[in-house]
Amino acid sequence: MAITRDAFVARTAHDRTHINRLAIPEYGVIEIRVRKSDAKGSKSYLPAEAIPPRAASGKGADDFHFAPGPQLNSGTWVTDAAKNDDVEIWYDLYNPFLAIEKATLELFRRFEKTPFWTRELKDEELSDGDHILKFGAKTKWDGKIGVHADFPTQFVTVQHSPYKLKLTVKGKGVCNSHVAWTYFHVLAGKIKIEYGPKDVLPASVAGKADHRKAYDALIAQGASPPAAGAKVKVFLESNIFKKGHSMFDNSLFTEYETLWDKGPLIPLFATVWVKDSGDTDVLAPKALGRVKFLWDWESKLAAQGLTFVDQAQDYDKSTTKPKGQNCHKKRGGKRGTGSDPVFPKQAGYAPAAALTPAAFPFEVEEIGKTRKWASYSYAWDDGKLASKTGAIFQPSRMGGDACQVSVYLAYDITKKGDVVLDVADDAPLKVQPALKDTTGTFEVWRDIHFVRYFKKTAAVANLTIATVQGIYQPAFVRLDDKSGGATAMAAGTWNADFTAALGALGATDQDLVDPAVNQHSAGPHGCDFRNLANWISAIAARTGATVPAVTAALSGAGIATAADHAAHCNNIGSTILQGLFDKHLHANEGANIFHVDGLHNHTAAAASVLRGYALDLPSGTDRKCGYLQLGKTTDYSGPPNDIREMTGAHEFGHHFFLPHTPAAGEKKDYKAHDKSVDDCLMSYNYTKPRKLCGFCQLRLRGWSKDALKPDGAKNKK
Amino acid sequence: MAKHTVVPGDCFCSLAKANNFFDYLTVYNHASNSALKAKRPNPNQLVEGDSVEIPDKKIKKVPGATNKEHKFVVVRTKTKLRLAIVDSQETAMKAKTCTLKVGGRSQKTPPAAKGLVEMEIDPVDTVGSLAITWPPPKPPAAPKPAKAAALPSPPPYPAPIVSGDFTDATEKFTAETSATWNLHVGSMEPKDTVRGALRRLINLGYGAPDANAEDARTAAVVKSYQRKNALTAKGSESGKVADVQANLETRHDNL
Repeated sequence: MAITRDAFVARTAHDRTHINRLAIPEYGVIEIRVRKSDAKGSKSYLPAEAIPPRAASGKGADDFHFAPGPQLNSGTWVTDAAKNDDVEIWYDLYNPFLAIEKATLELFRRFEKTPFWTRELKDEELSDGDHILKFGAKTKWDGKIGVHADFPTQFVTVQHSPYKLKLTVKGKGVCNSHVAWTYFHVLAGKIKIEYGPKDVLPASVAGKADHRKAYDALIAQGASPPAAGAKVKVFLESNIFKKGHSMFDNSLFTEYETLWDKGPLIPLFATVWVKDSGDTDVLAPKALGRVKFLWDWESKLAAQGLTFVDQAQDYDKSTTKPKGQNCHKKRGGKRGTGSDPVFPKQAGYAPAAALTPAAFPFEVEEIGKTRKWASYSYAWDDGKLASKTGAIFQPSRMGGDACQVSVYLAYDITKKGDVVLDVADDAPLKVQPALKDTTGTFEVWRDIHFVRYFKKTAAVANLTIATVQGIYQPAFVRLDDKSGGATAMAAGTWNADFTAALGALGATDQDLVDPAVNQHSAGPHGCDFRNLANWISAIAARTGATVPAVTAALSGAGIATAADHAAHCNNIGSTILQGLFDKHLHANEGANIFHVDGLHNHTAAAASVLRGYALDLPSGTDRKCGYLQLGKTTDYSGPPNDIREMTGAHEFGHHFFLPHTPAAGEKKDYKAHDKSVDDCLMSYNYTKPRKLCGFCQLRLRGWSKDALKPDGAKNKK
Repeated sequence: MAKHTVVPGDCFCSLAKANNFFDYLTVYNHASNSALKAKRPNPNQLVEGDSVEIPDKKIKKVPGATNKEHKFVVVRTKTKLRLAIVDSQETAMKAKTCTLKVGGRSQKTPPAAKGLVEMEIDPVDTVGSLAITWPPPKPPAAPKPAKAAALPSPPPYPAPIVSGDFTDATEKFTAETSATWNLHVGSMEPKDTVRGALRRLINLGYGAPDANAEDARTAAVVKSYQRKNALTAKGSESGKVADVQANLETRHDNL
């Protein structure tokens, strides 16, 4: 459009020389910067074809950044009015002719045509020369842009960074430099993962998985999550025993699933710092906005060095997302397409000064697009958790599963609005250190409590519990000794409970016991019985029958020899001790050991020595069990193959749903053992140091029995 | 003698022509206008309301025989309009085309040295126009855009700015290449009036009001003029018309 002006001109008479000088006004923008000082600020740009009336300063850099909004005191977590990183919006106009009629400041973010903030310069703001934009009476800008749907904190934020600030002028005159712009950033400084407080977890409910207890066990290993390279154990209390269920089907899997379902709930928070203009990391909660934080996990389970287990773990290990050997979804785990989320969705709630009990504060959404095993969370911009975000980390319940957790600042988007980090790439995602934090490894363990160890007398030599514990460790089972050590029963208690248990038997069997004998002081063996001859005499004395008649009667019942008598004593002794120990099952959930040195005083005559029983106690439940240790040290051939502790581990194994191996006498192959080995703990092979076979280990870890085959090679994919 | 009160567009040249005087000096130098002459040293710059005495015409008798031709030479003086066209730095405009029209007269002559455009005009014409065009400025040679280097892995934070990611529309730059002035001929007042100063400022390209009195707006313009021409120390601009009148006359009236 042509320049049109009025001119008031004088004529020049014939004898005069005066003229009328008419000038064409010019105006333009020279420069605009966001700056902390003249030396530290953003860089200004003009269009390539611009011819500015005077030179710009040429100062500044494209990576200028500042921390908008109020800052928190890191000690009190309250806004500190003395802390801020306010900046100047500085601009230089060429307008000596007052030709500029309109000057518009606009703020843009990438991929958006319309500005999210505008301001028209007025009056003195349009005058020729450099200016510092005023905000009210202040010459500093704290980054506030006012109400906008995409800027809920009303400040420029990390979420939409970088920004373009543009100044456009219009007026009357020549203008060869009508627009200038500059770029600036709001940057994250660092992210640090920490545990969230226990109170955000659901309250404990009797009979249900206690997430708060699992949390306590985690915190006992350290107040902070493990550092990269370190490991922490996630103990899942699971006193699940076979009573009322079957060892031969998938009951262990289903019971464990009923208890721990999708896994433990571990609250992870992350504090997020923003980088101020001096490159110091500060807490500026309003500067985060609705930026996404991507929570990611990697499988860190390694091969265990046991062929059967390693074959089973090697299931699509290179093709799932994430890769690795954590338990596959088809075996009950969370690795593989369609698995339950490791960072499940959370509704969150609005920032507040106090936390709502038993509610997770941060909004978490599962990524539905590409990186489906990861989730996004959002930060609080105010309140008790200002500058923090978080997610519930819920690894699978499978013992042995090991996860490393990372959180990434997922601020960057593509032109289409897709999150740049939402990719299927293997972890770790390639970002700068400031944009992420990574923990060490969380390794899941089952936690079975060993709650009581009663022995008849002090003369009974203690089992080495540590040895029993060591047998279960390869299965990622902690047999947690809460017994307080072995306790010898008081004589009076033993004798009274023995008498009560004996009284439940028939008279003939009661005659096995001489009432004059002090059962407790008779010895460390469980029951002190009369020998065959004395038993016959006792029956005869009670019934008035003759000794020969009693002898013949017993013989007719299959009890003719000392060996027969010893066998009968085995039965009766087991019944008596079961009744005796039943009264002493610990009130708490867990496993109990009851220990006598030999079932009775005639075991030498028996065809075989009974070493132990997985007691089926009347007051036992599928949460309380006990096993009876009978074998004396002399009944075993000794380490490394044959020791009492293996009996303990074997009998506990039954309570833990592990049946005998087929070779141990079970007529049917219940497809519950590695068929390639003969030294499973659940066998009777005393020629080798027995240990849990791979199949048993995986079942104890929580894997589905129905998804495994005794031929280990067939478990690999 | 008749008395004439000056109205916008009047000067001694126009008044002389209107009253059939061939030379304005006859009116300007008349004794009855001596006070006005002293007050208005430039006969082409009067103030609305000035009072001009129009002298009576004198009859001149010249003998001459009948039936013979007699030559009478009338010295007719010319009145011109003289304009100097400059850019914002007061450098002469290198105009491509230049069309000046005043009344029924026009010329299409590019400016001469120092941007001078002049044309003889009928002094009674008060309306005209000046239209010029000039070639567009040569933009600076655009630097060859550097090929964006491949980003390392992991990419830096912040990532380098990609200007194309910002999709805000920037109005296509079109350089101004023409200007037109609506000429109010005869309306320049002396430099020592407020209006005279402001009209000089307007002519010199400033966004001044066409006013008779000073106010905040005139002060802003005057200050800007003082700053641009470094008439005072920076920050000490007075904004007063009186402080720039002499300078304005020099800049505006002198070639």
